[in-house]
Formats: sequence, C-alpha cells, structure tokens
Amino acid sequence: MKIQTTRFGELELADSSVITFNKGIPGFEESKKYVLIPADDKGETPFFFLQSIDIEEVNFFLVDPFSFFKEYDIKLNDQMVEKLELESPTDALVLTTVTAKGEIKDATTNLKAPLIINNTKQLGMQIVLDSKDYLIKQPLFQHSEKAVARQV
Amino acid sequence: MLVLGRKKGESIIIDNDIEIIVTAIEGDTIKLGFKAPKHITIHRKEIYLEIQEENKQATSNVINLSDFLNMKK
Repeated sequence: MKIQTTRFGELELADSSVITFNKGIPGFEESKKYVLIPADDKGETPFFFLQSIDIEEVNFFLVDPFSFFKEYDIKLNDQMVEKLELESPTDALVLTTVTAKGEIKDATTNLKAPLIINNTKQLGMQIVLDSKDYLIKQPLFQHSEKAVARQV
Repeated sequence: MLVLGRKKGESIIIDNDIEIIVTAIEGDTIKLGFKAPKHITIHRKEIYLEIQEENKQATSNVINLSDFLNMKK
C-alpha cells in the first residue's frame, strides 16, 4: 500500500507492517494505524519514527529506552498482555517518545508512559506505569551525571 | 453533570459493570476503589492530560534531528 506523509513524502509499505493501536494514542485517539520506521536504514541509531497512516502529518519521534537507561524495567499486567495478545516477552517492543524544545542536550523522554508493540501480531498501545521512579520528562542525556551526584 | 452525595463505604454503579466505591474520607481527600471490566483503563486525569500533552510535543520536534540520528547505539 502507498501512504502520504508530511515528513517522508509518499511511502510504499507492506500491509503486514501496519501496527494497529486500537485505542489510538492519548491526544491522537482518532489515529489507529501506524508504521514504525527506523531513523536510519542501517539500524545503527536507537531512534525511530512512528508514522500515522490515518493522518499524514502525525509522527512520533521514539527511542529505545534501554539504550539510554539500562536499569529501565517495566512490568505488564495481565490486562495489558491480553490486550496486546502477547504470547512471549520477546514479541514485545518497548519504545518511548522523545521531546526537545530547545537544544538536543535538553531532550527528554517519557519513561512513565512507554509504547508497547507486539511485533508479531502488530498491535500497539501506550501504557502508564504506576512506578513513581519514572518521569514523563526524563532528561535523555543527563541521567548519568545525576546518578553520580547522588552517590556523593 | 450528575452530582451524587455518597458516604464512606457507599458506591456508585455505572453501566451495570463499573463500580466506584468510597473507601475512605480524610479531610479534603477521598479514597476511591474501582471495580471494572479488564478492558476499562482508569487513570488520574492529570496524568492522562500530561501524557496527552507530552505526546503532542513528541510529534513537533523543532530541534535538528540529524543531531540525534548521528548518535550510535
């Protein structure tokens, strides 16, 4: 199928690559179909775009949170596993949104509400973690300095 | 908007299968319990609004993306 996108122009993609977010994504409830595009062809960066198929100008800038936060740990409850039809933990892809209003060093990522994608069934949802340890605006690049400061 | 008075221990039923129970009242804070089918998601509204807002910002990055994309894993 061919889709129109603001960022990438016309994209040709396999029907099987379409990921369905049955409830949409908070703030974008009307867009249910997406495609995940690695930010670089060789797969060398941990960044991705999640491009809406329904609304051409909507795309989210995402990161693999484990690349930056080795200790990041999420637990899916039974409802989430059921909704995503997850059969094995290896089917789950975890990505978090990235925002940056100013300079790149001030970029933050939303560890509180990761996107979980079942990459076998092509189903996705954004979940909200109960943990108080994870911030909606977690600085992407400053966490290691803070960790050091805490030890002092 | 419907407004109902409830005492501690009393509850409200919505649509046959969602129950909201007043479990405690302490000063100006009340604690609510929820019983609902699994497909119903329940969030504190302010957290939901924050996440909505954060998602909107994640679609309108004004920074130079190439800075990000040059970073290796």
